[in-house]
Amino acid sequence: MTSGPTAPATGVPWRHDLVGGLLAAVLGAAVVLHVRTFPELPDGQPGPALFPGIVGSLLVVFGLVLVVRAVRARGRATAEAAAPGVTAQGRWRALAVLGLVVAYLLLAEVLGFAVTMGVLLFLLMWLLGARPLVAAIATAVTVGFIVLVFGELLLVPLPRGFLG
Amino acid sequence: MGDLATAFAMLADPTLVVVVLASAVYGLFIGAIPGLSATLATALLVPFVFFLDPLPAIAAVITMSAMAIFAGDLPSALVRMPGTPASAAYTEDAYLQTRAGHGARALGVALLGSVIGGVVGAVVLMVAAPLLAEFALQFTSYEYFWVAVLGLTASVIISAGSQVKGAISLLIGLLLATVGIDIALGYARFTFGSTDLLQGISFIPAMIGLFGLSEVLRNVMRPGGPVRVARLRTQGMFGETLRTLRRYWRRLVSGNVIGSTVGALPGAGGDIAAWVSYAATKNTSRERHLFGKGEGHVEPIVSAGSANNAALASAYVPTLVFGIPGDTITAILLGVLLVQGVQPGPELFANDAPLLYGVYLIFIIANLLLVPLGYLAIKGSSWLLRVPGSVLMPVIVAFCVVGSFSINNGYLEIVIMLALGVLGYLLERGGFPLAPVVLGLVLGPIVEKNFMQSVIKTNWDLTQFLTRPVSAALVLLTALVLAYPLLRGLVRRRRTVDASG
Repeated sequence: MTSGPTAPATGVPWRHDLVGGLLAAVLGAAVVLHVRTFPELPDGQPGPALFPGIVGSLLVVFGLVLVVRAVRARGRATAEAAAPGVTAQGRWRALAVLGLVVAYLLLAEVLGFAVTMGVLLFLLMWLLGARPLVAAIATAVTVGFIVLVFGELLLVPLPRGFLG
Repeated sequence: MGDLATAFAMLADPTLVVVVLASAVYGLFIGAIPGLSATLATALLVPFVFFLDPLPAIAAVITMSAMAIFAGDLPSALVRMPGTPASAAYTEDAYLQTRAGHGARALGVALLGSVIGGVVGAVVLMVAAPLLAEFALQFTSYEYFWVAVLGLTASVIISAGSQVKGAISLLIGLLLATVGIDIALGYARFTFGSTDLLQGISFIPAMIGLFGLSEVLRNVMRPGGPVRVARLRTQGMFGETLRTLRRYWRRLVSGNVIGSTVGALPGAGGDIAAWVSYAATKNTSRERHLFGKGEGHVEPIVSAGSANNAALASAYVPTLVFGIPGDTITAILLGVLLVQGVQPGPELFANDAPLLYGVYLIFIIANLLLVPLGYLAIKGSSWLLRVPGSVLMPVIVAFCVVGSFSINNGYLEIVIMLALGVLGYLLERGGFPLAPVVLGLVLGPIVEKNFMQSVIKTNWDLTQFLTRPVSAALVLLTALVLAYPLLRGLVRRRRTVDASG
C-alpha cells in the first residue's frame, strides 16, 4: 500500500524491511506454536489461546507480506542512499545510555540512589561531551530534585543502599 | 449549573493551580527542544501526575501538551528543526519566513493560531462528546468490542508510512497486552515463570520506554552540530499577526475543521492533522508557488499551526466517550486514568459531570494561559534552544529510570522501560509507527474482554456480533475504513489514466 497522502517518505532501506518482516513472522509463528499448550475452556472452546493465536497468525501474514515487498523493491534501491547512516560513535553513545540503565539496575540496591545515579549521570554527561563543571552542576541539581520531589514529596522509597 | 459551580470550586484548588503552571513551563521547555515530542513530555510527566487526583492529573497533561505543541514551532522558525513532529509540516516555511525577517509574524501566527485551535477543539469536545455519549449509553459488550476494533483498524489505516508496518506495530502492541493472567480462565500467558509479570506489562513504564528512552537513543545516535539560532525582532508582532490572521481567516477555519476531524480519529494526532491541513492548503491556495521556498509563506502556518492544536483537543472526544484514545498523548492519559480507577465512557458523562466540566474549563484556561506564556517563550526562545543535549539527554534518562521505578517501587518496571525503549528505537528506525503499538497495548485487553464476555454469555453464538443494529453499523464502518485505501488507490489510478489519455 502506498504511504499516506501527506505523510513524509520514510526512506527505509529494503534490507531493514526484509529483516523486520522476517522477525515479525518468526515471532508470530513462535506465539502460534506456544499457545497450543494453553488450556481450553471447560466446554472445549478456545479460551486463553484464542486472542494471542489470532494475533500471532496475523503477525506471520503481515510479516511475510513485508518480506515479499522488500524482495520486490530490491531492484529500486535508491532510497538507501537517502537514509542517513549511524556512525560508530553514535552507536557507542547509545550503548552508554543503555549502560547507565543496566548499571543502575545492578548497583542501586548496593550503593543507594543518590550515589549510583550521581556517578552514572556525571559519567554519561561527560561521555556525551559536556564540560566537567557543567556536568557536575547538572548532576547535582538533577539528583537533588529527584530526591526532594520523588523521595520526600511523592514518598517514593528510593533505594538507600549502604547509607540506609 | 450546580455541577459547573462544583467544577469551578475544584479548579480553585491551590495544588491544581501550581500543577497547571508547572506543567505549562515544562511543556514549553520540552516542546521547544528539537527531537523531544509532546508524547515524551507526557510519558515523563505521568510519574508525577500518577500521585494526583484525576482532575489535576488531566489538567497537567492538557496544559502541558497545549504548550508543547505550540513551543514546537519555535525551533522550526529559529533553527529549521521541528520541536515536535506536529510542527514538521510547516517547518520549512516558518524558517524561511524568519530568514526573510518575518519570524515574529510567523511565530505570532503560530501562537494565536494555536490558541484559537485549542479553543475550537475544546468547543468541538464540549458539543460532540455529550451527544456521542448519549448514543454510547446503549452499548453492550458487543458494541464495545466493535468500537475497539474500529479504533484499532483506523489507527493502522491512517498511520504514517506503510500500512503493513502499521499493522505489524499494532500486532506487537496487542501481543504485549496479552502478557499476564488471561480473562477467561486466569491462565498465566507469556510470563516465563515470573510472578511479577502475572499482572501484565506495566503500562506507564512501557510508555516511558517507548517514547522516552527511545527518543533519547535516537537523539544521541545523531547529535546535531552547534545550533545556529536565527535572529528575531518582536516589535509590532501582535498587530501584524492579527492583520495576517484576518487576511487568511478562511485558512484558519479550514485548519480548525481538518484538525478537529483528524484529531478525533483514533491514533491520529496533531502531526497527521498538520500534514493533512498543509496539503489541503497547498492544493487549494492561489499562492501555492510561494510554499516552502524563497521567503516561505505564512498561509500554511495559519492553517496547519492551528490544526495541530485543534487535533490535540478533539482527541479527547473518543478518549472520554468510548475509552478509545485519539492520539498517543490521550493513550498515555487513558492508561493513567484506568490505573487510577476512572473508566472513561458514557457512564462518566452520566455520573461525573463536575469532572467533565472541569476538563472543559481546563482546556479554555490552558489555551488562554498560552497567550502570555507563549509570548514569553518567543522572547526567550534563543535561550531555550541553547540547552546542550549532552546534559539534557542524561537527565531525561535519569527521569525515565526513576519515573518507571516510582510506579510500583520495583526494578521489573525499569527492565520493562529498558526493553521497550530498545524496541521503540528499533521500530522507529525500521519505519514502523509507534502510535499503533500504544493503541494495541491499551485496546487489546478491551477487545479480548468484550469478545470473551460476549461469547461466553451467549454460548458462542457469533451471529450476535453482526445482527444487533448498532453492532452492524459499526461493522459497516470498520469495513469502510478498511476499504478506504483500496478505494483511494482506484480513484488515483483512474485519475492518472484520465491525465495520460
